[in-house]
Amino acid sequence: MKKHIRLLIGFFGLMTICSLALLPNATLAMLSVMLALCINLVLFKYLKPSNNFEVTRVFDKYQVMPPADINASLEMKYNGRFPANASVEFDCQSLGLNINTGTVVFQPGQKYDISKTFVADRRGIHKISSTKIVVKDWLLLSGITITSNDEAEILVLPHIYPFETSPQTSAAGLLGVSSSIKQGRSSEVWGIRDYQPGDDFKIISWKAMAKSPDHKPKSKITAGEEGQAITIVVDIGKDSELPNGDQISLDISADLAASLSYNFIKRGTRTGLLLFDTRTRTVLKPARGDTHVDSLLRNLAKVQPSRDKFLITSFTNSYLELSASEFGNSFILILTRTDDRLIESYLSKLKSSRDLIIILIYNEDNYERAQQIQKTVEENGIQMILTNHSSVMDTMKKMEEWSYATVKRT
Amino acid sequence: MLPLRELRTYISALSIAPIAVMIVNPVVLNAFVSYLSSIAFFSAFGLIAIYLFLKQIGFIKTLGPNQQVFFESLLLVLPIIIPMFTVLTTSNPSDFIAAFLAYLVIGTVVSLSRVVVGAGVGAFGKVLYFFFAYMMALMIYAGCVAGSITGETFSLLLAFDQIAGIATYLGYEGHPIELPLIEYVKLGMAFAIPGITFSALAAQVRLSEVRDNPGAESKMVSSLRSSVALLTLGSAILLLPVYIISIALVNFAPYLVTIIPPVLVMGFILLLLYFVERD
Repeated sequence: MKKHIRLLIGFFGLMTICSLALLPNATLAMLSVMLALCINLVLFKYLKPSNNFEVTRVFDKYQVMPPADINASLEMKYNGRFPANASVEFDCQSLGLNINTGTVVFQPGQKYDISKTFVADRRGIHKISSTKIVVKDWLLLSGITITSNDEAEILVLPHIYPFETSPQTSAAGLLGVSSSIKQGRSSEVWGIRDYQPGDDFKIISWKAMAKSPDHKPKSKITAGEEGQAITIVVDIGKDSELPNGDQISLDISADLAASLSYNFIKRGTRTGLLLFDTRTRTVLKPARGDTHVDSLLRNLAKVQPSRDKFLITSFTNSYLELSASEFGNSFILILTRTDDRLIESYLSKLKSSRDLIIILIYNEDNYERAQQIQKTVEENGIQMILTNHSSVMDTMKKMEEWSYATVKRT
Repeated sequence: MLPLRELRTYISALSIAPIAVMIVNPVVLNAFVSYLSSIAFFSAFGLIAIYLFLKQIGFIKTLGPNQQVFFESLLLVLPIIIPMFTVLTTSNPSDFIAAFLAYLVIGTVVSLSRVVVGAGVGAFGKVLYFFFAYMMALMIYAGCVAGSITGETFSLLLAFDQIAGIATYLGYEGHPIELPLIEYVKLGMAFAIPGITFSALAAQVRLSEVRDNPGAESKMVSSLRSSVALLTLGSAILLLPVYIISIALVNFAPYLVTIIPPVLVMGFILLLLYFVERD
């Protein structure tokens, strides 16, 4: 039952007692208060002050890289002819934002501005609720709620850790060949590298193969060549929701994947992304350019832990089927699952002509198991880095070294 | 120096003037003084004072729920239980009446204090305390006046007759007496009713404000003072039809004068509210 109805019933009961007790003064006192309550309610419904509010909500940023300060400002104007009570509120639970003006008395024509800065430090899409205006009567007994249609989203991208070497240095430039803006190849030969499956037969350097001590096929690096591609595979299985510091493991995976792809693309390397749990959920084929970076970051910002666990058997099959011409020959697998007893044996099966590095995200509960996996996998010749929330920078350093070593090998 | 309170507090204080007229007058004060020698009167005051003190310091809240009920009941009922033994052994009700009068006096003072400075009291609470204070003051005054006539100091039976309107419908023959100062009370009530209305509405605003934001300063009450005053004026104007109907009714059905006019006017307003809310 509504508050004002309850109150009126209470007064009516009390007034009846006074009437029956033949106490005219007390009866009139009750009646007077009841009448005042009713006048208030009737006028509130009749005058409708709720129709005279203008509310504008503005955020200075809708897409940020954490941690970033976002300023939310709210402008309200009341155009009614009588004073009105209203409160305005909206929130973003995931970012801990809660704006509530509390009930304020608005005089006719009065403006009310409120501004609040909050920190966006959690990766993901954060929903800002619609602005809710609760207009109350003059005795604050009943109210009308108006919900404006301004629900918004703030996209907080993963954190990007830069490589130590700037993209302009020669060492960094080696990572990918991007000197030509135009697509396609020219006849200008820049160097020789190992043949990679999928290479056009026209660029095979038979002379270099003959001269090389191992007589393995070599390919020419030509200006305008699309260059080496790296594909980052991120385990988004259920284990990625395990806590890791203040975050979850997937936040660390996303930060690493975003940082690596950003740095690689800035250095001209085509970089792709696969999100995998029991099967491939998202595929972004290796490419370069700002649009591609944006697409990668958005996907990594949105990704949430899946309800299914990461299946190493399924991943092994998919991995071996990935075409080198599309996904390149260098893979980074960012893994969060450790409880699967098949992991060691199947990861060892991934050893092939491809360059593969595995980053295993651990937390304090599965550190020993992670070490055990690392030991077995490295015995089988696959490089594995263990990382957690406190060692992301070190991992980035190792990955930078790995990327240059990969180039040198080719 | 104490900070000045809000306007609603002063208006509440003025609104209790008619009640004050009934309890602060020579007849009541004489009766009060004559009971000062009664142990039952003192013990009632003493026990209730102990109860209020323990409640104030938060001792009662520290007890468990069952202990709390037992302890509170003991302290509040004991003052009336003790004189019962005197009534049973000597058949003299004077101690019982003295204890009862003590209850009435304490009840009136507590209710009046809640009307004037009661924190956390809304419109309903204000009016309810006002009603209690008015009823108990009426009983005290009527009992003392009747007692001075009959020579009993305080007439319990005639005090009840003053508020026994409901019982008369069921066949009880009450003997309400004409109180000497009742004209002043009626005159005071003409001002007290708008006063208590203003006070109740302001208290409701404050209560809603506190519920919304417990730490808030009392800004809303001052900002909405004009609105509350206009609503009070509106209600005072709407009391005129009640007055007109009462005048029309008083000649042929005086026993219905407190029932028909307010119910008619209130019914009309509630019907209007129903239609407005339905849209």
